[in-house]
Amino acid sequence: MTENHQDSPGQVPEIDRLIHEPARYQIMALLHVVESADFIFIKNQTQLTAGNLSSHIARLETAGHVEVNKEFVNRKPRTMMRLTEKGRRAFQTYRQQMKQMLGDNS
Amino acid sequence: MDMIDLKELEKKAYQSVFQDGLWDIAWGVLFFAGWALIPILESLDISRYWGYPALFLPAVIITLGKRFITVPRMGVVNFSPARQRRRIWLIACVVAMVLFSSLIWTMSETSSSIWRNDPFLSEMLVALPIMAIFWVVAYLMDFSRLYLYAAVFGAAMPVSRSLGPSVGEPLIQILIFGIPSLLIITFGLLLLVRFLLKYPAPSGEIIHD
Repeated sequence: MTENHQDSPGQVPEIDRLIHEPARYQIMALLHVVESADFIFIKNQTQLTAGNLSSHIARLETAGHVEVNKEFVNRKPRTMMRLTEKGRRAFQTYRQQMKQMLGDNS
Repeated sequence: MDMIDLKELEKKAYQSVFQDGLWDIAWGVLFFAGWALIPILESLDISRYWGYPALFLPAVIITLGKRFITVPRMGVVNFSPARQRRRIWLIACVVAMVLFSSLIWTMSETSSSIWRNDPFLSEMLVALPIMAIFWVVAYLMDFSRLYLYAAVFGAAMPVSRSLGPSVGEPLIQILIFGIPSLLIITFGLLLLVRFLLKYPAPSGEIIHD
């Protein structure tokens, strides 16, 4: 039996519960694989409702994981979103922790 | 919770831009304009030069279609630098294709003997590189349907040259190139209709605040 020197038996690793919520995880995963995307694109890809998506993005923005830029293109407003460096690191850490946890339990 | 495969997610996001069918329509128009239109015009005693502007139609379709149809419905996305680098290679391939096609056209017009003695072989020498370039374009675009379109047109070129004397021109070009082109355009239009039904135009900017 291999020894897990990081966690003692029975101890659940602390995962980022903000990212752990499925909708927010989806949003962060999508923003992780692109440079930036606007609200409509994220809504179409995640299939979330506008209100739901707006609420999750607001929480991610408050936590500093997502940067929201409102701009005007051809006189039409456009809201572009991207992960911050903090958000990228947090997302990668979360995935590593989840892989470790799921790997330990398999 | 299932871990999302990030590579698959990025690919799915990227390929979603092809749902609108515009690239299918553009490629169909390009094939039609490049191979079927000129013979049709010449059979109607219309100068072939009237057909050349049609070669620019695909670019117009993509530019205007993406701007006025797709982007308002699908949204805006900037893909990773790796994807953007592929675009540079894509442009290089398109330039290579145009140069190669121009070179071949010039050679065929200046009556080199190979074109006269063995039409099938001469067309194969033209078709294979063009097909290969199209396949590279398909790979760079991650647009899998283009592999099929390129194969159809790659095969059509030597077949039309071989059957030309027996079937007659321009009928053979209309059949061999025109019909597949129109089928591709029709398929693209069907995709476009499905896209418009699936993604209605938003009534205004969905403001996130």
